[in-house]
Amino acid sequence: MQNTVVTDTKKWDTVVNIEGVTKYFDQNRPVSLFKREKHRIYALKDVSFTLQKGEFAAYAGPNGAGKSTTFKLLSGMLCPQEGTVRIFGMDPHKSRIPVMRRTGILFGNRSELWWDHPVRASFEWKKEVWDIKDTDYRRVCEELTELLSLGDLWNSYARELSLGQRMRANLALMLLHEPELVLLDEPTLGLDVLAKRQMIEFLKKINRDKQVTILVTSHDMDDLTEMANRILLINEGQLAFDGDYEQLIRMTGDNRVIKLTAKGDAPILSGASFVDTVDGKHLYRYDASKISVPELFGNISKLPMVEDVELGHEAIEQVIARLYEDWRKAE
Amino acid sequence: MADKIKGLFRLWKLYARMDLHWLLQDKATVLLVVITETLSNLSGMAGVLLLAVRFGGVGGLTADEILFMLGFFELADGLGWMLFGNYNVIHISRRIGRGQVDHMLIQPRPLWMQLLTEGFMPFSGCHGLIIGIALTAVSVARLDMTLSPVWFLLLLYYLVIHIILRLSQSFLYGSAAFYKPVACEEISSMILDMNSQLGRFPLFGLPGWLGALLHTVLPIGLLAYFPALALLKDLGKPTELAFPFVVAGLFLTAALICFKKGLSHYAKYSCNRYKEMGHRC
Repeated sequence: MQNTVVTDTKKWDTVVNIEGVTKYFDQNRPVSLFKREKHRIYALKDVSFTLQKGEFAAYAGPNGAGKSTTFKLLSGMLCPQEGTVRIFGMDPHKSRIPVMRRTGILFGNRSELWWDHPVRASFEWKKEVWDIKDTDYRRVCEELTELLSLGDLWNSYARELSLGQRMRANLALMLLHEPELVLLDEPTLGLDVLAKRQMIEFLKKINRDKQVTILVTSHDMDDLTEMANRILLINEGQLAFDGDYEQLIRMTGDNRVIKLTAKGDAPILSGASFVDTVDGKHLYRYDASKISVPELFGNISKLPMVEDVELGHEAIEQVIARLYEDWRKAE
Repeated sequence: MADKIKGLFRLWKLYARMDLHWLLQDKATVLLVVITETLSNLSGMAGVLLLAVRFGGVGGLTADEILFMLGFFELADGLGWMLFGNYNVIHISRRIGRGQVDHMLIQPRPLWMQLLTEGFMPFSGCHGLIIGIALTAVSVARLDMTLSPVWFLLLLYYLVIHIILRLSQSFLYGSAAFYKPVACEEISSMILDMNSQLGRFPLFGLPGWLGALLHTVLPIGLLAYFPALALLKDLGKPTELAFPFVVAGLFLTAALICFKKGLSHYAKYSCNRYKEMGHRC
């Protein structure tokens, strides 16, 4: 379930402040063998938001929406063409070193572990590069080893770890210097259910216990509702929604999906509308505010030949499409 | 400043320890790598040496003097490799082209400090240096040279010039990878290979314009030939001493400017997917 902690943001310090940020990339697209056409792609268009100390926000959107670009801007790797980015009141590009001392970044498709070395060596490397005191290093290592079950991984080579193990080790490495701001780009990418659960619980714990500000990207609606108390939806470079999950549901409906594995044609399921059949699985959509799960299961039990049932949230693309649809209707 | 110097030494120590760990993890493989690298280094200079032995010298130098020049090249090349060879620091275009500069940008250390230390491999990368020392020692003995402290200072000076020139060229041309990452990923390797192949030849007897070109625009003559002449034949005049310093200084300045400009370009325009010839995702 989503975390619905209501917080008084006024009391908090601003950790992230993005104001009117526009970032675009110019491309030369081939229109014929010898002719190229200039094309401008907007990764972000006039995006503004702030994050206060201790907030756990999800930065969500479909693939190509501008999530990773935002993270690169926040970590000072890229500069915006327009607008300002401030982390702890500093420009992360110009004040890279002080910002990085207080920030932890993890890109889901990248690893900060030294590939040809044991996991332990990467931690010792970080201790030196980040100039972490011996006592702090030992204390944080002990905490992380326990919380993320790193004991067995400590002496394994990074190249030998499974995806889930590698993500755990990367997460621990990222947290070694006790960052006040954590930026996670698709941390659950490719993880199995158990590993995903561990990751989410851990992030909630450090947010709750240590007031670490967390901004996490994902394009998986289920993960986001589990993790964050604030959702920033981004689509085609623009902020489409900024609020909590309850607000989002009020605007779009609590739309969920159910997948039935059944032989033959898709059966008619009362309380849900049929969407599509993919690989023998029939996909239905239902509004959880109108029909309860037990009621829906009661309807499913009446159907013949149902072999399996999967529940989930609607894909983020559909949530965004619905948002736009509602706005159009309102206009 | 003292903190920065202390930081440099701490990082060198760290990377030396990591290098030793890597060396000890699989001794058989590492031994194979070291033997292969040694053979490769020796075969790289075999052609010039065999020619010199067969014809009693080439390019205005005797066979023993050629051996000294090749020894100097190995010494300087080995030292450069030991200091900057690891993790593609010397092959900087690979790091840029593969999008690995991002990893550096999230470290709370200045980039120059990272680049000066990350490549340090005193254990697994010392074979070239050892070969260089051995060859230089043999040639010095055969030439019956008298070595003074000034001579050793001069040797150190030319070693530094050699390393600056090679590193500067790698960074100068390698900065192109900020603009065309995939297309230019291997540009540093190509420049360094060309330096290795041509830098071992004596340039005596070439037309004046070509000699000048090979000591300035494409400064392969300053990698071993010019230093060998200076160390063998006492080219200690101020102008002869200043010339390689000026060329190396110009290359270093150009490399720093281009790298900085490239990095700014990356911050302003670069992105994995959108750039033509962009990073491999």
